[in-house]
Amino acid sequence: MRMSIFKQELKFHRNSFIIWAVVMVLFVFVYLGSYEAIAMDEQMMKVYEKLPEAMKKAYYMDQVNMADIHGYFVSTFMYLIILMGIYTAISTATVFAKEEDRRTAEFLYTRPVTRTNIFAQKILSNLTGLILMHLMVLGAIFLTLTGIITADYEPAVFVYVVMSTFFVSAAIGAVGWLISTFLTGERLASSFGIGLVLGSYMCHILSGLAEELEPFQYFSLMYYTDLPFIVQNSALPWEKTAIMLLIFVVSGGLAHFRFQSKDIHV
Amino acid sequence: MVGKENVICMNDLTKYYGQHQALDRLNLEVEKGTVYGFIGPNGAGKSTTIRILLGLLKPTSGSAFILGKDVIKKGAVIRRHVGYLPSEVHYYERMKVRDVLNYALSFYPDADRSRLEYYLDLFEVDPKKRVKNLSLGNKKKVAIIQSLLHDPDLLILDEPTSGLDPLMQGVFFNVLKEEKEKGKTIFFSTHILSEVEKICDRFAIIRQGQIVATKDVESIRKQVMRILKVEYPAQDRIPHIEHEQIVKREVHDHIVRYYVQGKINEVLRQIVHDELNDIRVEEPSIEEIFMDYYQPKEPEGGK
Repeated sequence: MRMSIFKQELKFHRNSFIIWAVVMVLFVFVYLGSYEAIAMDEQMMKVYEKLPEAMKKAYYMDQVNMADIHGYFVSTFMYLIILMGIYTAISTATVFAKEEDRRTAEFLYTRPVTRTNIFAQKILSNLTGLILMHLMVLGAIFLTLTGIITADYEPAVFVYVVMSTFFVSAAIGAVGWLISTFLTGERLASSFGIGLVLGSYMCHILSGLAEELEPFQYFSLMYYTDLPFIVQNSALPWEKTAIMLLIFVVSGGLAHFRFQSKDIHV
Repeated sequence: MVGKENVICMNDLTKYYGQHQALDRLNLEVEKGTVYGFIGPNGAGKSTTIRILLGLLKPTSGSAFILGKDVIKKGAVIRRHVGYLPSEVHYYERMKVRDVLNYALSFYPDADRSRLEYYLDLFEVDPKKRVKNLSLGNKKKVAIIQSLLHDPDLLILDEPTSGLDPLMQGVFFNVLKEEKEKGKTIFFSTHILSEVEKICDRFAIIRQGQIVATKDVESIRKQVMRILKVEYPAQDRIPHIEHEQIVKREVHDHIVRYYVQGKINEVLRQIVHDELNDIRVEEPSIEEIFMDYYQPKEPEGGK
């Protein structure tokens, strides 16, 4: 299989990848790097304790200790999950839609390659970007831990947190591909993807507000990353990860089927 | 059954967009080495047919074959041998011309890369320019180059000259003639009928999703009427000429237009027998011949 489309897709996404990577790496440096300053600050800890229960729940403070490096890390890492989700949603939900929107589909889909081949190369470029992004975040985490943090830490927790985020991102990505095969407007597709991620975050917040709203957690990305579980058990939440993998396979399969059979209108 | 020498073969090709029928049981065969005009007014189904041939659209029913292979099942293999020029050109705006063409070439590992420089020179395209900075005509030239780069056996051209200046149209038609001489097949969609007359061997006329005629350009020229435009000294000096080959007569003041079917020698001899100021032999343009096919037929009993 010649990888022309894969290589070209990587080139197309290079600039946006760099911008997002800088944002995420800086996020890790700033938030994780300020752990000791915050953890040592008793006033700050008291502020955390006085937060409303719903807010504590939203930031896992009901399950983890903010004075502990791992607890502090996962409560701030939620924002990175959202950032990663938005990056994933934008890059995957537009991957096919933009070709029709910019009317380049007529060029690309008349090359001597099968639709399956085009699909494979495009999603492979998305996945490559996603893997690299997570590796960069992981690198930034360990750089901060070794260079700035003096407290003891369990490396596996940080690896599992990033792995769990990756599986959730992969599921978002597969849903993004499916969206991309239905929508032909690039802006609409990316807005739809971002809306799903932010909607999922809202579900996370809502689920902590009242007991009867708890079912909303099942629509939340945070439920499936289950960061408190990772901190408490130093292991991946396998059941939830399996659900993410299932969503990845089913959505990816449906996206392929749809892409394979659809008419390309240009 | 696919004919041995047929490069394109369509069997009852039908396409619906929802309730709208875009193609209605199209049957068409294009022989190897032919420049085949595919003509019809806007919305007749030309682009839909081409997009089915290229695998962009799936037919609702029927089948189409290129080089003996099913366009749905063997699309990728077929497209290795096909050069496609779309009617409207859209490339990745931020890419430079050379990068676009190299990207196009990367799909054909066996292609002769020297053709790229040859065509860039021939069509006077600046390869360093970004696509977004190109004029419509220059984008078209890039698309022409891209369609020719891999030396395809079949060229599918969808309204190829739109946006090209007359000079470049000339260059382009010369390239097409060279390709024809090399035995390549060219399937040429247009609504500019003079282009068909200039370059095509055969043509099919599509109207409202149906093929209404397939003809040979040369034979249609032979069959058609010629017009003898005769200027007499005065209206009262117009003689009464009757001949079985004169199918129609139009009189305007002292000028008469005789529509003559077949050879004109005998009629001409009879006309020059009388006194006249001037005589001209006109051929109806191919556009006049096509117009009858082009215009939708009035429903019976209609106005």
